[in-house]
Amino acid sequence: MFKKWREKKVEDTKNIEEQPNTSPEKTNWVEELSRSNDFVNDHTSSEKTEPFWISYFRTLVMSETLHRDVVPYLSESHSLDRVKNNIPIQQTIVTSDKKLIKEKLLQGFAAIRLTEQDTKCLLVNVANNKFRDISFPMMESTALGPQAGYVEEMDTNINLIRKHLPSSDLHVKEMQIGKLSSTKVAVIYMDSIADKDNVETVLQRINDVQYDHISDSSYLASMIEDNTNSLFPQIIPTERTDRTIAALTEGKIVIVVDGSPDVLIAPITLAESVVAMEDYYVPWLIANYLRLIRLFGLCVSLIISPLYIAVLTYHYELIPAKLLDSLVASRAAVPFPPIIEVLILEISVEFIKESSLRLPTKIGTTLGIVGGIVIGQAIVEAKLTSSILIILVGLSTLASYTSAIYKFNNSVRLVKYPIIVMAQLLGLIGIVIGLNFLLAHLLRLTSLGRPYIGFYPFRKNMFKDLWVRLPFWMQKENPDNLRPQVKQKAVFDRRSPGPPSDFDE
Amino acid sequence: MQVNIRHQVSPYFLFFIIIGAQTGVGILGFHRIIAKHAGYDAWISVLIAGVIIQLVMFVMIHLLSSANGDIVDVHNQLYGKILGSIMSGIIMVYFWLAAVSVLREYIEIIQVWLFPTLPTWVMAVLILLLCYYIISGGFRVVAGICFVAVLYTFLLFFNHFNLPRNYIHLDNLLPILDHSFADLLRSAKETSYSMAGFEIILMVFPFIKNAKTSRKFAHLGLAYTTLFYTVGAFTTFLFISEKQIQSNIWARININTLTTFSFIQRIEYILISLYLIKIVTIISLMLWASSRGFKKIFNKKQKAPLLVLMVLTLVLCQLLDNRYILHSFLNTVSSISLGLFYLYIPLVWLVFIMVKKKKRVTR
Repeated sequence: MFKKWREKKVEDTKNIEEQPNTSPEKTNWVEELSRSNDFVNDHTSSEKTEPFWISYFRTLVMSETLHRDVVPYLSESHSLDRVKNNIPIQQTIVTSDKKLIKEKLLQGFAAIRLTEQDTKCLLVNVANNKFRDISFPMMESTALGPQAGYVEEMDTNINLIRKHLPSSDLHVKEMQIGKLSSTKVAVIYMDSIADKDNVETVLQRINDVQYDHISDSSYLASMIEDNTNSLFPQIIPTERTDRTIAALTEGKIVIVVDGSPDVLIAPITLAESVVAMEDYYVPWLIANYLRLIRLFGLCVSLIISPLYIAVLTYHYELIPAKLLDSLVASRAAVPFPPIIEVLILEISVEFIKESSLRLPTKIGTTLGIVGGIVIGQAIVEAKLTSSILIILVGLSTLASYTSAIYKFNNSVRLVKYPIIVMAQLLGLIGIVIGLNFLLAHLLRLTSLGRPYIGFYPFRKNMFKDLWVRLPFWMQKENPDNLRPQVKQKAVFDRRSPGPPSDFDE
Repeated sequence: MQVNIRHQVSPYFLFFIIIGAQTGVGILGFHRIIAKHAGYDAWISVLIAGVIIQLVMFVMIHLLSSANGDIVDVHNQLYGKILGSIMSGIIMVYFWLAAVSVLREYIEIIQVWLFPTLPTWVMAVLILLLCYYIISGGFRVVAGICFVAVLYTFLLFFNHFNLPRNYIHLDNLLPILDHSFADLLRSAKETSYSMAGFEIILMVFPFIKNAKTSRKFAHLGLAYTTLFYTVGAFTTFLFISEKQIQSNIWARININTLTTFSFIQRIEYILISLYLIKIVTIISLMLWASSRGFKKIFNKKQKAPLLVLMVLTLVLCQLLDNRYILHSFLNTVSSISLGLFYLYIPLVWLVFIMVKKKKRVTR
């Protein structure tokens, strides 16, 4: 019985699959598309016998182009081929393939036929591709450097990349994914630098993706990541053009998804989350200082609240007597154990973060003031938490946003909580166990099969341009962990231009 | 059985794996044990032990590269399938016992210094879970943990010089060579257990790329550990008197209690907590080796022997519930290690080489 039931089910699914394929063959595509109200099917002449019939989606075409470059030429001639030659638009197709016609109409083409019953028609591209202009990168803003951020349109984004890398080496592989959305995806890489295996892996994984719609590049990112259950992004999204250009020249692979202003970069390492593009626009010493600050910020935001819990619950001997005085004084009136205190504060800070992110900037600022200052002040006066903890949590919140990649900040926000729980259970040992789990997890992670954690396996040139940024003339090699085909960068070794001083002569 | 090249690690990781396996809980308290016989001259015994382990390492690598595999392959080639499996089983049991001894000793330290009422099984379960997570990531992850742990031992190395300057007595060490050579050797024998762990090469060897030509990393690792222990003994003897050291189970922790800063004191709490990563390294390595051995012996997936070993570890940790039993357990493990790796393995090496030569002659 069960087998029968299963067979029936299989048949059912077959029927469902076949239905949309068979029905359009029987009905005319004009009839089918006319069910939507925005589909226009017009006759250009007042005489019923005269040509032409023109059909398009009103909402997809640029009416200016249609009226300027297509309609005037229709009255001049009486054959499709003649029209095709006259129209000043390059993308034209003459076909009678119903499937192709429908597909093109849905992309913003206009179909022109001689008579209403004609199957042969001329397709003209009059699509409206205007989204928005290139604007500032919102999430990854810098004071220096180019201020061009990606937009929602794929061609514009690829144009931005191509303009910066005018090389025949830059290969773009386009494909379509998403059963309903047919989203266009472009995989971009430098053919002579990028590792062939990496490119193969990316293409393979994107081909395997099956989903109804791809709304954003993050959909794709989470579908082709090595470990989908990890908190850490193994493919980073960026909206900065300079970041993608730098990645491409190193041998990384860039994935552009139509409809998303975030461009994906793979493979990456953990260390790249503390690399901001601004590091390359300031002197290298300052860049290193900033990188160190960011790294330190990440550590602080991870361990400062757990440390507070561990020390005040178990190890108050760690604090010298003088310092303990002020700690105890501020905590004396608080009726909760440290863990409750920390959770109250951490969660209220999360409230503030989350609500101000969802609201427009103007209200968000007000909210920050209300949340941060008023509640912060009141919570101490109401003796719900100690004032020292407010300082610590405030610091860790600030520090958790120092990373240059927004997606990574979110991971740090969440990773903290298990460590807080471990600190409550086992004090310092608990924190170390938690951190070790984190370390083991990072060691296990891979990005496109390449190790994710930046310092293992150890490579010499990660101290030239990953953890540390040295001056440009010392960055002679592309990063080894990407297995680039070209090992050496083009570097001109000129440390001090100009004539030597009298001391050097 | 050749290991897939994707699972192998670069030769220089041998350096980190050897150090990671060798430097364990011993660093904190081996001073008392070695000073029993040779007193203040015990640091010389550490050097002697260092030379001996270099020789043993040479023997092991020679044995493994002539068998082209790990110790299980050696035994199978030498004794045949059944007897070979039994002999390999003994070594795998030793690896497991070593893991248990390190785990139990660390939990003992935590119970003495940090949480006196903490049940043994809580720590054991947490650490074993962590180890399972690491081992299930494959050898690459185990080697990665070794790498990070060795970075921590570099820090510990500088911790040796963290002594209260006013209380250092250089004349403690004088006169040098005050003890008989027999005493020095006896101390060297005691040191050998603290320095044990390098026998992990018996299982790790096939996982190293071009292992035959990269033996220098193994010897470098041993040299580093020898230096580490020598400096450790030397600096501790500068500070603690010969009588006092006999009542100090963890001399290094005691020295660290003296360090204070304006914002923090009792550094030893942090030292002991951070020590976890060293413990996890050793236990992961040993359990990895043991479960891999049993995997090859029984032809099972590595998961099954690993889980069995972990449950057994938990049970054994519960059974070793007081210092006296723990101490005799540690002594047993250390004498097993002496017998296996300083007597049995060189013997196997001699026989193996002779058999191989004979085969070549008859051919």
